[in-house]
Amino acid sequence: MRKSTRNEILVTIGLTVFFLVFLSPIFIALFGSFRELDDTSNYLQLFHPLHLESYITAFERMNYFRSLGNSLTITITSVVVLLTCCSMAGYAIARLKGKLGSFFQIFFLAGMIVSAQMSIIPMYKVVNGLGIGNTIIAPICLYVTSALPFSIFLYTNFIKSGVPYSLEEAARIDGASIPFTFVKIVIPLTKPALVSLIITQGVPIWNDFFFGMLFLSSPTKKTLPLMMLNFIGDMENATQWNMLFAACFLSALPILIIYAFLQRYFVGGLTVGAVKG
Amino acid sequence: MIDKRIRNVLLIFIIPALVFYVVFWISPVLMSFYYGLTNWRGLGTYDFIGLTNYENLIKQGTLFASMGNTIKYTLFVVIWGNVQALALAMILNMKLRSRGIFRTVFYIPALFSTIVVAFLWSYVYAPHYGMISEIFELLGLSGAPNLLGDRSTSLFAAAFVETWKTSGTMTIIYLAGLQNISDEVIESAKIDGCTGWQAIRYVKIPMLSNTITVNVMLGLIGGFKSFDYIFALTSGGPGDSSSTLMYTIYKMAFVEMQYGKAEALAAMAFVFILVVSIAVLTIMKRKELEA
Repeated sequence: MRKSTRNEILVTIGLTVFFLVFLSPIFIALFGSFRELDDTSNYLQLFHPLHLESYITAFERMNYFRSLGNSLTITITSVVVLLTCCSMAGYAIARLKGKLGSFFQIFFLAGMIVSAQMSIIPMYKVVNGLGIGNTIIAPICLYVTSALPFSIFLYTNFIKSGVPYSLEEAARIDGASIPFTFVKIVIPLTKPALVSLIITQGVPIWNDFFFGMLFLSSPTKKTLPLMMLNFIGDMENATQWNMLFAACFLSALPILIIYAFLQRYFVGGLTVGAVKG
Repeated sequence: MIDKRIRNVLLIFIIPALVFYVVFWISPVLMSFYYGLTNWRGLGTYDFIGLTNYENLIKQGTLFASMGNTIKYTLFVVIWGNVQALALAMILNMKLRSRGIFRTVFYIPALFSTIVVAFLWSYVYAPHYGMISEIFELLGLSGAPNLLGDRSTSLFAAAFVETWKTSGTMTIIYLAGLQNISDEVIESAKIDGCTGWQAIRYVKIPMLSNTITVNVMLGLIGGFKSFDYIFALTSGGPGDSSSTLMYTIYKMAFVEMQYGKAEALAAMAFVFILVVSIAVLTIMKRKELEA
């Protein structure tokens, strides 16, 4: 017993040291962000008097509330549309009999190997052809589409392994229609899969800059990661780093707050579908 | 026919997803195969030039250089990412009281946007005032390496950043896999005379084979699509030493305005990634069955 306690203390100390080193860029940047704006002395000297100027400057240059609003609108709309489309399609694929079901499963799965960079030019043409260039509809459509292959795959598997078909059959004998059965029986039973998709697909959508960079040129429509992209030129300038660090944390703040409150859903959500028996 | 009516309703359920998927994903890919056969430069008319783009990409070495960089990047991400995550998951899986805190903190990089992560690491790698340079100075050493500015290291410096960001996700997936292995199995292996290492090698790793496949595929897909860190940290440089497939396609299209050539490269990248993904998945599945 005593030996195992001593081992635990040693392992804990070792892990703490490892984590401090591993995450040191975050700590150094955090301390740096609270320095005076033009203080470029060695960043390894962590403790300086606290200043908020970097945050105020970054806040203004990012047009923070507007960008935050844009990020929220785009992410929430994308996730809602994604969940609607993928749950309907995933359910249908799981319940279609015969070859049709497996055809659609493979058809959607094949999309996972496509990367957005591969067909940007035609994508650009499609978006402009539909007249949705430089509107938030364009990135939303592309976020939904690029997340569909994995989402449908996960949802279909979840239904196949977790939702007993007999429940639906019983409902149907009682005269329930398929849409009714889907909404009242299947959706409640697949909540873990839906939560998992909100997290595994929502976080990357929130963080993405690529589709926004291609399709949103007006400054008023830019999201938080896109505002960070505007700062790339400032990296060359050593005196801008305190402001850049502050911008990094301002941009990550909303998701860190959500993580702090909903942490167990993040951990649980990652492992749905990834680990089976 | 009740069955037929059910089938029709189910087919209607697929339509919304199908519309998005065909309009924004499948048709652009098919169109890119077509544009790859033209000399389109974005403006005005273009000619159909057959396989000239493909020939040029092979002759000028662009294809093999960017493919080689993508393979190196992917191998680094898959191997180092998995070794690191598996080792950490095994340590965290010991019944530590502080496990929850470590797991929570360790996942934080995964929450950051890739662009934020790129900013943090461009500070770490920056010559003169960056973290690595300052640590060298602190230790009284001279000649701190400029990892992003050196042809031989820039690609791996960017790949390391990718493993830094994804380590939290991979570790949590491994941890969940390890928690699925019951203590009794390990106990009985020990009774049969297994040493700690043997228990890991011959009991735990085979039982994790499913989880390993998931994480290898995650690393593979991430590696093949590597773009963000190359874009924000190295711009493919110095020279073309860190130009991956996706970055080369992007640069050809948007910087050099060689749309036709970019789409020809995209078509080859598509086939390459398809073949390798299927091959790796098949091998991993066969190993799973053996285990």
